[in-house]
Amino acid sequence: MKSTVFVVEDSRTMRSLVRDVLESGGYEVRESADGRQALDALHSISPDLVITDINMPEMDGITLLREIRKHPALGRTPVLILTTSTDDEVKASARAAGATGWIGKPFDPDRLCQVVAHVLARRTER
Amino acid sequence: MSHDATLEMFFEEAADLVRDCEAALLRLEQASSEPDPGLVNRIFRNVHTLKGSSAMLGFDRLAGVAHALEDVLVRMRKGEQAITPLLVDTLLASVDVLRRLLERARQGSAGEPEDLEATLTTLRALTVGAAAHVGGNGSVTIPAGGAGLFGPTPDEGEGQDPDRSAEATTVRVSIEKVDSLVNLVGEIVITQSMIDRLVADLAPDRVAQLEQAVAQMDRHARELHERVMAVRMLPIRTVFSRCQRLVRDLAHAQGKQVVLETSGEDTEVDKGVIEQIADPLTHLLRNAIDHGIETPEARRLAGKPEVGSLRLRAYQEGGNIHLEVADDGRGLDRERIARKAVQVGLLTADARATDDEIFGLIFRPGFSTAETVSQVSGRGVGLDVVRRNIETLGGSVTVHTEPARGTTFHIRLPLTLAILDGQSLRVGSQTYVLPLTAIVESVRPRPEQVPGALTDGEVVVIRGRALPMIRLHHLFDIVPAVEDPAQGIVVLVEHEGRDVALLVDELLGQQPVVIKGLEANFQKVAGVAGATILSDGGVALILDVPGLVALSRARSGNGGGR
Repeated sequence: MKSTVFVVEDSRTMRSLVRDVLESGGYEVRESADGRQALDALHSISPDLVITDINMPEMDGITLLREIRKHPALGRTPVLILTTSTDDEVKASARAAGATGWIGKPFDPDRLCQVVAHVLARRTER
Repeated sequence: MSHDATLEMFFEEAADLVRDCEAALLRLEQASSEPDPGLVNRIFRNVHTLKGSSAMLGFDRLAGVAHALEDVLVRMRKGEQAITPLLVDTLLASVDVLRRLLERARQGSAGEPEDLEATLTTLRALTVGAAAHVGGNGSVTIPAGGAGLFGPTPDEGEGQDPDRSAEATTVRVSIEKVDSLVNLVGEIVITQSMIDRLVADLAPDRVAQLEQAVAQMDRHARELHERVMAVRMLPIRTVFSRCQRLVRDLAHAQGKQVVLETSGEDTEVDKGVIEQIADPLTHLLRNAIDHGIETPEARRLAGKPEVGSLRLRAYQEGGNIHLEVADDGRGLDRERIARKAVQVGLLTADARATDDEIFGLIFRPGFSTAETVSQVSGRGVGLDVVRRNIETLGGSVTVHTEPARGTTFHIRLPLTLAILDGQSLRVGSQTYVLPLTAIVESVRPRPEQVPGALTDGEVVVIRGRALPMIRLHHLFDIVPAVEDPAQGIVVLVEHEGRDVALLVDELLGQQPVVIKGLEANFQKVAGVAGATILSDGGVALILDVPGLVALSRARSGNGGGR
């Protein structure tokens, strides 16, 4: 069965770029434009992996990440944050909030697939 | 998704982001004493998003400007950068540069906006030690391919089938697709009315049943029509949002202080109207700032607040959209307008005209009382153009003014451009349709009301006023037709503030008609706005009053006008 990746990103361009890469990598992609919508949708989707942007209007990525970690059923879902790679402060707070890893924007499509495959493989090994 | 489609999506999104930045900046400026951190965040988010996707798609200059802008916004967020009018100017200028870069990127044109360098220098001067590796030409290289993992992956939860995706609430549809739907639905309405007519002659025992079915189809067709038309409707917000910036810049240029308040932004208007209403609205706003609202000193002397108020309002009422542009300026000067009217020969010196007649004159071609020609308005483009544009859309514009209290322009527009309430009329064997909104009244004149041809064309005398009369059968070379006005009907229509009489054989029914363009199959026909299919399946031309008057003048030298 295909693994499902849930992409949370307010920019529709960026969202579709990530979706294209992941779909051609053989993943099932679900998406949302904002943290709050994502949180609602997550309950019914239960994805294998969440990739989230940090800066979003209603609920930012770090808050979403904390909410996921608090949630009994979703708490252990791996979460990658999408961030500008120069932003070390953001990376540090994402790590503290329980992020699995980060992907720098702009991303290299192959590298994105590698990281996603790696995280999902670790997940199924256990 | 194809690369082109991604690019198209990027450009649309980027345009939205830039527009939103501009709106937020303008609001920030208005409340600069107590800056709203939410606004700064909103601008930051937009710029950040734009930077990310620009860099992703290889638009390095865009990413560069966005990056420099982002650095300034970070400082604003942290409270390290005071929000001053000068800063807002700089940020607005940067937003303009972003917009121009986007346009160039979209058109694939080379070169860069001339103020790119200056903008980047200013932005960078505002920040200490920007983090990006900025190249000499303003492009920024944000290293790609970075990714990493923080630590052990958390254990997985129970895997479940995804059963539902996040729902999208909007869909973008090309206007061509919608238009083809509108046309199709129009055809259904026509078919329905054809069936309606046929039923009237049907065998009596089945009539009741058929009538019921037809009534049902009628209901469905109308409902479908309404819903499909609604797809063409857009909130007028897109037009209003551009006005804030315009008013700000114009007021600055004139040394005036003006606050624009808008209301009714969610009022939905036909896409075609949206596209064509921006120019007239812009013109009215310019007019209000140039000629209506006084300088701060003059306002203080008049006992008014120094800051002038402009109100832009939209609302729907029945089948019409109403727009109002109201200022609290000096109002129109009745005496000066009257003097000017006498001077250019629109009014005789001893004429007694009502206020409405006097103020209506400002919409006449070549009429401007402005004593100094300003940079922005009064450049030979007057309110007559505003009026013509609005009339082309099937609407009308009126003005109400009070000395020292201000002036309000009121625009009425039809809800949609694809359908109109028509009056069908007959000339000889031909059927024509006139927009009902154009008709003032229709009368059968008595012989003494038609004194015959004067030197400057035929007239008909209605309540003591001699109105130019246009014989439609002459205009369209229709023989035979009613020649004697006393045997026919004259339809009075308004044209440029005056009534003109159209001679026709007789009036037929009134009905909503679906407008079909003629351009695809015919050359532009003077005096004809389009065609429609009538309920008997026949085709009728839809008449266009300004075109008819122009055609009549061309035919007779000066027959239609005065």
